[in-house]
Amino acid sequence: MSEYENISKLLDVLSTCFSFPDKSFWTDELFDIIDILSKDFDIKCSASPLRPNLKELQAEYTRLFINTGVGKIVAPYASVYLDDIGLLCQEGLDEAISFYRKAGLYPLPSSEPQDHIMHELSFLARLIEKNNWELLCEFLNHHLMKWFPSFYSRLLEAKPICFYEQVAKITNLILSQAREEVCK
Amino acid sequence: MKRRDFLKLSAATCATLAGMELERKGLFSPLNAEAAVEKGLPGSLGAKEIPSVCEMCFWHCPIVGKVKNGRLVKIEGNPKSPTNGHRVCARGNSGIQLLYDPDRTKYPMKRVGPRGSGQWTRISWDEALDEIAYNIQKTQKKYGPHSIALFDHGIASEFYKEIFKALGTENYSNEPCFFQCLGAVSLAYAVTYGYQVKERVDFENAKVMLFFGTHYGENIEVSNIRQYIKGLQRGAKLIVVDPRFSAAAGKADIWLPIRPGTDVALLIAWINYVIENNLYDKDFVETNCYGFDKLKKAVKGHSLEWAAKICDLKVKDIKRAIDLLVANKPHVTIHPGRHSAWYGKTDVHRHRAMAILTAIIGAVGVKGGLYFPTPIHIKKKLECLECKNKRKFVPPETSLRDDYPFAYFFPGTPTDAIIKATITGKPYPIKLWGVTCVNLLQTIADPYQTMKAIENLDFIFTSEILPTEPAIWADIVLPEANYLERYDAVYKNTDLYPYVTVRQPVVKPMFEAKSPYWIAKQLAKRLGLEMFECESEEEYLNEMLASINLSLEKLNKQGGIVTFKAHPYKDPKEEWDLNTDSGSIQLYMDSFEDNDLDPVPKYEPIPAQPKGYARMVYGRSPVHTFSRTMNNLWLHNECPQNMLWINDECAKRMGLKTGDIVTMENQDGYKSLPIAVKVTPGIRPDTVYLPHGFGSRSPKLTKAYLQGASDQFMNTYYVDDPFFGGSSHRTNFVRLIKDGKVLEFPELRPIPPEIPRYKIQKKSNA
Repeated sequence: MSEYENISKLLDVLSTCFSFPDKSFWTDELFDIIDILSKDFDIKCSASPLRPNLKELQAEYTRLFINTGVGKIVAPYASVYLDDIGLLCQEGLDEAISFYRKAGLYPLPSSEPQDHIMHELSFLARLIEKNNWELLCEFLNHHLMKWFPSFYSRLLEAKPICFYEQVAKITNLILSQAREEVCK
Repeated sequence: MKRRDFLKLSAATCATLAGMELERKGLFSPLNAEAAVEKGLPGSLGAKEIPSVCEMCFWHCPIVGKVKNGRLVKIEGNPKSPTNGHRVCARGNSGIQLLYDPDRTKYPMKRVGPRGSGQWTRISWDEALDEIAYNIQKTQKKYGPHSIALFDHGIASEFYKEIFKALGTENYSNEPCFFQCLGAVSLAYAVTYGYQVKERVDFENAKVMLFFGTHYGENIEVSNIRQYIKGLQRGAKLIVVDPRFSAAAGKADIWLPIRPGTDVALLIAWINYVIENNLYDKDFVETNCYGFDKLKKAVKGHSLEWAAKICDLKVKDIKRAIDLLVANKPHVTIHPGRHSAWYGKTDVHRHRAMAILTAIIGAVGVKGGLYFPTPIHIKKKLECLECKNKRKFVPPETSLRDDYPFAYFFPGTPTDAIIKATITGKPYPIKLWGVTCVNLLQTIADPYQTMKAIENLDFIFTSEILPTEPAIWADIVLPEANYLERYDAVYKNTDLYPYVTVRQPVVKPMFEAKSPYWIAKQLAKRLGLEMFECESEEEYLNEMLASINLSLEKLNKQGGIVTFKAHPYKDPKEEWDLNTDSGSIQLYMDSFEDNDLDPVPKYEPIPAQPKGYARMVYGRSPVHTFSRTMNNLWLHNECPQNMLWINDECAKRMGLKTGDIVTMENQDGYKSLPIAVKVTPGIRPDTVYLPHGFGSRSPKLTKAYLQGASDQFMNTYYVDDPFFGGSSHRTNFVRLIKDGKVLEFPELRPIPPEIPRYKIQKKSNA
C-alpha cells in the first residue's frame, strides 16, 4: 500500500469508528488499530482503557452521538455547529454536499444526514485517493475545521469511554496535521 | 505543500491497516443526473409546495410545506383553506424546528440503565418490535387480557388503539385528553344537546360573548381566534368570568373576577334570574327543551345576592352581565370551554349549567350562538372489525369503569383508575403500558403517583417524537415520524367553513423514524393480528377518500383541500330531533338521577385555600402547546420559562417584586422548580396562576429541561369526577419559599362560612 492509501484507509477506519457499531460489520480489529495508533501518537486515555464489549460500545455510542443531553450535546453533524441556532440539516449540510459535488461525488443513501462526521471523514479519504489536494484543503479550511474543533471539545467534555476518546484524539490529530502540513 | 510528509505512520500501523478489510469503506457514489440540486431563487422562493395539516396544536390548520432539495425551508397556511388561509401561528411556523431538532428521537432504543435513568442503547426495529410483542403476549398470558393499557393522544394513536382493542383489553384509548382535560365539557354538552359542541360557537355573528376561564389571546387557534376578533370588531360585547385578568379579560366589557370554584353558583343564580324574570325564550323552551319545570324548581331561591356572596362578586356587576346577555338573545355565545378538569365533583355541573343557560335563551342553532356541525360522511376504515385472530372481548369481573356511570361516553378507561390499579393490583393487575404521543407526567394529576405506577410495571414502551418524560421511563422507545414526515389521516372540518384535507409527508422521515401506520402494522403482525391490510398509508387514505369520491391525487390537484357548504343553523320554531335521551335539549337528566347524580346542576362548595396558601390555577401560553413545544427553539426563545402571577397587594405584604425567584410548596409539601414572580393587580389575592407545560424533567430536552416550573408537579391532590372518572387539576394550594424563608399569603378576601377550608394532611413522601 502506498502511504496515501494508508492515510485514506485510516480515514475510513475513523469514519467507521464514528458510525454506529453494528454487529454486521464491527470487528475487534477496529479496537486493535485504534490502540496501535494511540501508541504511535502517544495518546493517553483519561478513562479506563478497558475494552468494552459490543453492547457496551453501542450504549456508549447511543449516549454520545444519538441522544443529546443537557450540557453535553455531541451531535456529530456539521449543521448543528455551523447553523446559528444549532438545527439539523441546515447550511452545514448544504455546504458539505456542495463539496461532495465539487469532487463529483454524491453520498449514498443513509439514515444519517450527510454532514455526519463519518461522511466527512470518508469524503476526505476519497479526496486523498483522487490526489485532490486543493479540494481537500478547501474542505478542511472552509468546512470541516470550522466545526470539528467544537465537536471535539464537546465530545471530550462528555467524558467518553477510552475508545471514543482515542478515536476523537486521533481524528483531531490527523485533521490538524493534515491542515498544517498539506494546506500551507 | 509538503504532501509527502503528511502524517507518518508506524510500520505496525501500516501493516495492520493493510490487513484490514473494511465493510463500510466509502459512503459515496459518483455524481449522477438524479442528484441534481435545485438552484436559483433564495429562501423559500421557487420551493415545491406540499399541502398537509399542522400538528403543532390540536387545531389542525391546513398548511403547505415549502421544500427545496428535500429539505423543508418554510411552513405557511394553505391559501386554499377557508379558515386560516395563508396564516399559521407562531407554533405553526416553528414546526420546522421540531423536524430538525437535534434532540429528536432518531432510532429505536432499549433501556440499559435503571428505569427512569434515560440510559438507552440503539437497537433495530425488529428487535424493538419483537420485544414489545413478546412482552404484550407474556403479560396477557400471565395476568389476563386486561393487564395491558394504552395511554394515547391524537390521530396518530388511532392505529395503536386498534391493536389494543383487538387484544381484548378494556384499557385502550385511555386518553388523558378526555379524563384530564375536556371530559367534563364533552359529556355535559353531549348529554344536553346530543352532539359534541366543542368550540362550535358563531363568534362572527355574536352580539355578546360570555367566557368562563376561556382565555383567547393566550390560547390561540388561528381560525377560531380570527372569528373571535371579527366578532369583537363587529361590536360584540364580551363578558369574562375569570379570577385572573386574562388577555380576553383585557378586551372585556365586563370582567367578573370570580372566587375560584364557585362558577356553578353564579350560573345557577343566572338561570334562576332568567326564569324568575321571564327573560327566557318560552317558545324555544316549549318546542325544544326537556325538563324545564324541574329545572325551574331546582334553581329556585338561588338569588343573585346569594351568588354574589359565594362568588365574591358585586350584585350589580353580575346583574349587568346577565342583563346584557339576555338583552341580546338569542345571538349570544356562551363559550362551552375546553379544558374542564378543574374541581372534579362539580365540573360536569358547571358545563351543564352553561349549556342550559344557552338553551333557555334560545342561543343554539342560530346566528351568533352555538351551531351544529355539517356532516361530511367519510367512511371510517375500521381496521379490526372482523379481522382474523382478534381476541374476543371478555369484560373483567370488576371493570375500572364500574364506579363511573358515564365513563361509557368515552371509548377508554379513566386514566386515574388505571394508575391506581397498576399500583394496587386491584381489581386486577396491570403490568404493561404503551404510551403514544402523550406526556403522562405533565398531563395526569399527581405525577409522583404515576411514577410509582411505572415502577410497578413489568414493561413500558413509548412511541415518541421527542425524548420527553415518559420516554425517560420507558423500556423501549420507538422513534415516531413527526407530522411533517408522515401520512396519518383524513381531516374533516365540519364547522362553519367545512372542508376535507389530508396529512401527508412534506419530507421523508429522518433517521429511522417511522409512521404510526407502519409501526402498528409491524406490531400487529408480530402479535398474530391480521390487521392493517393496506400496503401503504396512501392506499389506506384513498380507501377512505373514495367514500366522498376523492383520492389523494384528486385532492392534491385541488391544492390539498376540498370545501363544502355549511349547514350550521336550524329553525328554532321547528321541533328538533336531537340525539339525546328525550330527543330534545336535556335541561333535566333522568339518567343522572337514576345513578344518584344530580339531574340538574347543583352548587357544592369546593374547599377554599388553607390559611397562608393560595389556590393554584394555570392556563395556556400563546406560543406553546401543552408541554410539547417547550423544546422548540423559536418558541423557547419567545417564551423560555413561565412566570407565577401573584396579586400586587399580596406581593407587597410578602415582600415580593416582579422577577423575584421563588419556589412553590403545595399543601402536601411538594416543592416546585424555581420560578420568577409576576406581580400584578390582574389576579385575585387568593389565587396564583402560571402557564402550563413548563419545568420539564427530561434532561434529554436540552432547551426545555428545568426551564420554569410545572403546575402538574404541584398537582398532588385531586378529586375524581363522579360521572366519568376525570381528575381535578385546580384543587391544589401553594405557598412560596424565597431564600429559604416560607412566605405565607395574607388573606385579603374573607371566605364565607358556606365554603369550608381544605384541611392539610401532609403526605409522608413529599
